[in-house]
Amino acid sequence: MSGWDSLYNTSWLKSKHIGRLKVGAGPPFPWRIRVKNQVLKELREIVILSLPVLSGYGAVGIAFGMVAVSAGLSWWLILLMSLCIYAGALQLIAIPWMIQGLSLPTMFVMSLLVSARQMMYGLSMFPYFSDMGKAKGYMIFSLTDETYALLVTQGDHPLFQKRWTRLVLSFLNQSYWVMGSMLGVYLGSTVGRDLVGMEFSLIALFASLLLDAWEKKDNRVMILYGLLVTWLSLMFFGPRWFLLPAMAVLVVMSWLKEGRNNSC
Amino acid sequence: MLSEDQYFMLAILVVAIANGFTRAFPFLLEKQSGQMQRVLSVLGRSLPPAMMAMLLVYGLRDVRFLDGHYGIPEITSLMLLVLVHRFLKKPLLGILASTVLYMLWMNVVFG
Repeated sequence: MSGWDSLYNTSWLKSKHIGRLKVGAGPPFPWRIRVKNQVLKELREIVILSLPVLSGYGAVGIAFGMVAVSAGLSWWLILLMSLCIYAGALQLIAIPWMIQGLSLPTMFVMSLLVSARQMMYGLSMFPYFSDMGKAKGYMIFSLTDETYALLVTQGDHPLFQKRWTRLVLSFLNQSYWVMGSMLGVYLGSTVGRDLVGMEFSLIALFASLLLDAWEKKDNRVMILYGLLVTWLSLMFFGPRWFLLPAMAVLVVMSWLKEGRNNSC
Repeated sequence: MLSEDQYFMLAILVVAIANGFTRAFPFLLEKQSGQMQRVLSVLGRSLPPAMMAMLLVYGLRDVRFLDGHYGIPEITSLMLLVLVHRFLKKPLLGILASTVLYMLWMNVVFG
């Protein structure tokens, strides 16, 4: 899988760390407190499991909040974005769209394409979501790259046999994201007001996702096409109109590529 | 006409719906035929890497390589990102370090 699931390497979750935190000699302070209550114990386990997401969402959320506030969006709009959209790369790239006043249909299509990588995630979530009842809607809505990565790698953890633990995990992850972006709003409107260049974090984020995708040999052709087609489109149509033509060509190209693979 | 806040709220709603749709896609197609599922898997497999490449170019669309800063801040920061990502295997640190380097360029050197 390309994308954030490998951006934040969660392999340490599987390793000795969890065991050490649970029983070993010197766990950090909060985990040394004896907890009798079973629910509290499980809650603590979920928090430990979600700690890498806290660091990832904290950092990217702060970047998002700072960029958004310096672009001139008010704090409640930024809060609304983190509550209703809840997608790192998409939220960052939607800031310039909103500031430029992009038309709503265009914005819809571009959002679909930017988020296209998430279309496969749900497929491996059927066993974990099918018994969620009324919470299933929220589970699907909150299926971000990180939550997906956690559930894929940790879904068979005995902890997640209970339904509420999965819901709490998803909810915790979104709360990290919301808190991160609000902290970013605060930092952006106080310390970071005169700093320029925060918006480079968006470019760095895409470059990082791209490096991850590059690891898989099968992706490389489409990455090169993507770079070439978009650059040509930029030359032809100029910086304001180049995105949609490039997207159209790339959708057709990925279609053709898959068609060739399938017929073999 | 929409006021600016109304436009922003509608825009957020539109982006949220599109994003939620991609997440719900497999669940919407759960009971559908194989034809639609093939469409899904085609778009989900080879489109994302192309989109990432496109978004990188999009992010760099205003960089001037022939005058101005000659793209030096962008190129050096991205090189730092690649180094940290590939050799230290710390993607998040790479994003952080390259952003800090870029901000140093823009605030201190070219500020």
